[in-house]
Amino acid sequence: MKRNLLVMVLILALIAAFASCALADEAQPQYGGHFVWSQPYEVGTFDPHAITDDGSTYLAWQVYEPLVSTDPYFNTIPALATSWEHPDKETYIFHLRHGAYWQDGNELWAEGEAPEVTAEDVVYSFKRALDPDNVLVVRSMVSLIDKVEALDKYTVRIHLSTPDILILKRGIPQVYIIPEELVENKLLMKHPIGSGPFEFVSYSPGEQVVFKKNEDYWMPVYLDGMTMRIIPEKQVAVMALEAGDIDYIAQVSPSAVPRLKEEGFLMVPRATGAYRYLAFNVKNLPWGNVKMREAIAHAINRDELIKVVFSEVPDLAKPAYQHESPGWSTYDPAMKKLPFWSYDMEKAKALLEEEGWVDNNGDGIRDKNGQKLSLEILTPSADPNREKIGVILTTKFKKELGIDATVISLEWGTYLDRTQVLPPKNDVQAYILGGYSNPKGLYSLFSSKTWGPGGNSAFYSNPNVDTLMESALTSSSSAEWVKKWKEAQVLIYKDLPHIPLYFEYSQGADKPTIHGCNLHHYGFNDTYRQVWMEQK
Amino acid sequence: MLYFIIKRLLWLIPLLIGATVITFFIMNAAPGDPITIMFGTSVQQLPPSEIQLIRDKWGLDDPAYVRYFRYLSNLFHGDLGVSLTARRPVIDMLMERVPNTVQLGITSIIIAILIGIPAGIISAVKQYSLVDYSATILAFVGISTPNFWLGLMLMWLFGLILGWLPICGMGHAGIGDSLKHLILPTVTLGTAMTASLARLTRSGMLEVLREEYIKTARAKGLSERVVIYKHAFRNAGISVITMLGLQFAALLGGAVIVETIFAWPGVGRLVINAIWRRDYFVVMGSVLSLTGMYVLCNLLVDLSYGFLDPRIRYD
Amino acid sequence: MRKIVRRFIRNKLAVLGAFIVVVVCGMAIFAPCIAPYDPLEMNFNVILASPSSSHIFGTDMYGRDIFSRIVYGARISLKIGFIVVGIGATVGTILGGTAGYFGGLYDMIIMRIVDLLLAFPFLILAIVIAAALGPSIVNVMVALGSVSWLRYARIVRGEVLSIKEREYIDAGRAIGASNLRILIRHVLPNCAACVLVLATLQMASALIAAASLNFLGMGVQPPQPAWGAMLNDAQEFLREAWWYAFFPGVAIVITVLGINFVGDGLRDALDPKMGR
Repeated sequence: MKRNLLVMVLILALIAAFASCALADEAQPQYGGHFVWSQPYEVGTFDPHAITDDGSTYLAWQVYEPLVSTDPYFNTIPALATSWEHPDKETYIFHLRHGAYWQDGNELWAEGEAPEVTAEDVVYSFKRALDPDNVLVVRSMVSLIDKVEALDKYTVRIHLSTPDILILKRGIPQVYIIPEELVENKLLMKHPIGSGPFEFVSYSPGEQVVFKKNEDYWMPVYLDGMTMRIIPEKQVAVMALEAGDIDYIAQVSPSAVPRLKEEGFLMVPRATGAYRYLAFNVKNLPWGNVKMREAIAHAINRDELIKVVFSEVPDLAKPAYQHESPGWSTYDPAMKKLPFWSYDMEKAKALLEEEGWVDNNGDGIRDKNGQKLSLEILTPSADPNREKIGVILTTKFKKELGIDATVISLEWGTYLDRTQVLPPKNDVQAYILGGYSNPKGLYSLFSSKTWGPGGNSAFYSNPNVDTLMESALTSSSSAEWVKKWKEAQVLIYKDLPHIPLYFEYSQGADKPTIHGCNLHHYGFNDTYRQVWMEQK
Repeated sequence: MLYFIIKRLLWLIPLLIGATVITFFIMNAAPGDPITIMFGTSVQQLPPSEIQLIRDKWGLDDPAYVRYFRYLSNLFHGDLGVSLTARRPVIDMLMERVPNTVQLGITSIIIAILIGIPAGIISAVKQYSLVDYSATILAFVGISTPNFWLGLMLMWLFGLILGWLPICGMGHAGIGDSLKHLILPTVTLGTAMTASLARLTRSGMLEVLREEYIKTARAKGLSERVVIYKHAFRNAGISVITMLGLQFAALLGGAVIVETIFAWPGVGRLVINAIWRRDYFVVMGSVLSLTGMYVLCNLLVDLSYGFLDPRIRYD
Repeated sequence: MRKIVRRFIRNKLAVLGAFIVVVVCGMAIFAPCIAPYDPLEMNFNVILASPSSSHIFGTDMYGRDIFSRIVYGARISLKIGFIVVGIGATVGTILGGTAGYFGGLYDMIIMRIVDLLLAFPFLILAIVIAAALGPSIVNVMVALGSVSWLRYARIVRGEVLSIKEREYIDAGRAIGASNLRILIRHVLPNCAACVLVLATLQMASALIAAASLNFLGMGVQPPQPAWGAMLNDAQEFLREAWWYAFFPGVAIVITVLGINFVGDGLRDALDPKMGR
């Protein structure tokens, strides 16, 4: 009897041991495999300092690295620099990682012969990016830097002409460190070589880029290699995922989500949302009158909007009452309680009537002094969601508020041309846009110094806000910046230049055997070095 | 013969110049500025003086005719300009993408010829039969279907529901894979041309079959096959081939849509992106290559007249 | 004339085509009576609903009835078609006719322009024009109209050339009739037949071209119903809501088919030996 019991216990113990092994394996990353994934954008350029589109960003992330990077909430994290100091407002000192090598086994360096990444390389990269003759786009993000010098082999000092507390969140993370030899040997546009986790193998224009693992990367890389396929049509990408041709899609169209979930694919949500809004040109009447904008604010039902725009698929968007995204240190839950975010049609109508807009002639449209109340909303045609918002809002405004509302969908260049003209020539009344979801976004959108092409197409100007934001940018501590930013935000939205609509959380989708995928948070360094595939 | 070819190739030059003139001045009239589009939201962080430097460096503020002549003179030196967004010579980008469009176009034409012409001949020979009626109706449907809808429906049916064929890209895993990837785009692009070729061949043949010399040929005792192919088709062929040449431009235009739907990496997609970004040189280079292709195709058509009709020679 | 009509009626396909065209025109004219719903009316409770008894062609992503939108969409399609063809036929006839009649340098210039524009990849030209002028129905018509006159010019010029040398023209000149008079009273009526046929066939291709432009996102502003634009929106939902892409496409095919049948029938009826 006792022996049987002993045997049973032994067997159970063995089973437990196997089980825990199996479970443990599940959680442990496995090495190997070739990962195939897709994203919708063409790779515009191989030059990481000239990036103007997402496709090029995806490529640069894998092959190159910046000094520092950011996590989804815009907290600065180490990349090529392991630590940094901020001795005074205008100076930053970075300590480079020891043992980060340029990729080898290519035309520049044979196997095992690539040098370490040093401060000289960092200085070279910044100087190249900053040189006005090179006309590199990234210069505009770090134009405040006036001096970059190498203090020793692993230390770099960067000096700004004016303090900018956000430079570590936005600016320095955008400058990729590239080897001088690459540019000198004219290989930059043909065969990118950096210090990142993946090495460039080949490019089929318009179709795919193939990478392989950088064996010498300073962190373990699990995949053997990966192929980034370019599939512009979202539903085609979904088909390819279902057919098993690819393992992961970087952006899924909302309508496909329920079906993919049913078929066993996993959704990969973006960690933070991207800001979408309805903005007004506050210099033009009648919508330059804040009471009129308040009326519109009361006429927007965010839940309904989200439901229709995203075809009733949940979790793709959250109502927004401010610019700062949930999860950021500057996010302020109290903003939701501002009085004009409440959906109240009666209040909206009352406000319009208070301002003298009544339907005098019975045609269903309000008028005043013989003039019809019209609202023309512009939207760029590239993003179908924005057009949807436009259609929903204008149809509603027309039917329920008696406003002759129309939406005009314009091609991007034409759209910019109209919305960025400075007043008083600017004839735009309102527009729907999104983006600027980064720590500096509030400044770009609402400072009087950024009118027009800078991002402030609402032509909002409030000296109190300007002073507050500028002092926030030059403050010496993050905490101070957060506090002032929040204050500024409250002031801004009280004037209603924008009506925030929602934060969009786009999703990726992958096979359940893929782990570690996360969606690139709006614009940032997010390589796939942490991705691993279950081996059969 | 050679003289004729050279004369035609020379005619290419004013044609291409004309194409660049049209493209340039229309693009110029379009609102929107490449610098603003390129720099996006961070453009305000650059001092205006610097933006002006960029504009001066690229000559963007010079008057239109100055910029155009600068482009033209570069063109004569073989320089098609540099893409503002990719920072690469346009000619490199074209060399990567044009062959893909050519592949798509030529395959479509070959299929159109292989299916359309025999269909038309059979239709004409067996006029008013069931075969004729079915072929006629099919042909009409073929001409009446917009290629983007056809593409979407084919993609839906063969890619999604049945899963038999790949639906995007060119396929790099060997010849078989490449051919499989060619099928749906080519069918989409080639259907309209196949249908109109069938109709044209049919009516051309009908016209010719009534002619006196056909009756003579039959009276002489020649076999029906010889009558049809050697005599009737040779004569009808000319108008058919002419149409083919003229329709090639439409085919190239249609390629733009097909390339977008099927993610085919050709010139069409390149040019649409470039228009969006106001990347002038890429747009002009693409238009040049497409127009050039059309002219060459027509040249081939003209040369083939000599083969079809022995009376026409170009010495 | 009666003979022409009789020949036309004998052609079964032509009659079918005429019937289709009449139905589509009727749809356009009587749209408010035929369409069960307002094409702009959104109903958020039936987003992307499949065809049912209340919405026979289903609904789109805003819950709008697709059948109603197709019915009203006929208006835009036909409007574009007629106007583009009208512009094309008029401009083309004038330019082609005068080119053929007067000849010389003027003729050469016009024909070279025609050759150039025929060689140009049309869709790209249209896209660039639409980008330059901005999206609106009018601009689509301008873009399409700018290339639609080419075929007319060629054909009319050809006809004029062949008529020019005939005797009654010389006779007319002899008695001192002005060139313009000769052109209008003698030359043009002879071209009428081929212009008419070409017009019907051009209508078909104008419809498809307009739909293509709408598909690429140019032309009609939302929320106006246009068949090509509906297909553009439907792409995203190809799997989930096949009816969204299917029915507008079928509408285009059937309409264009009808027009093509009519054009072909007209060509056969007007001159059975002319058949090409």
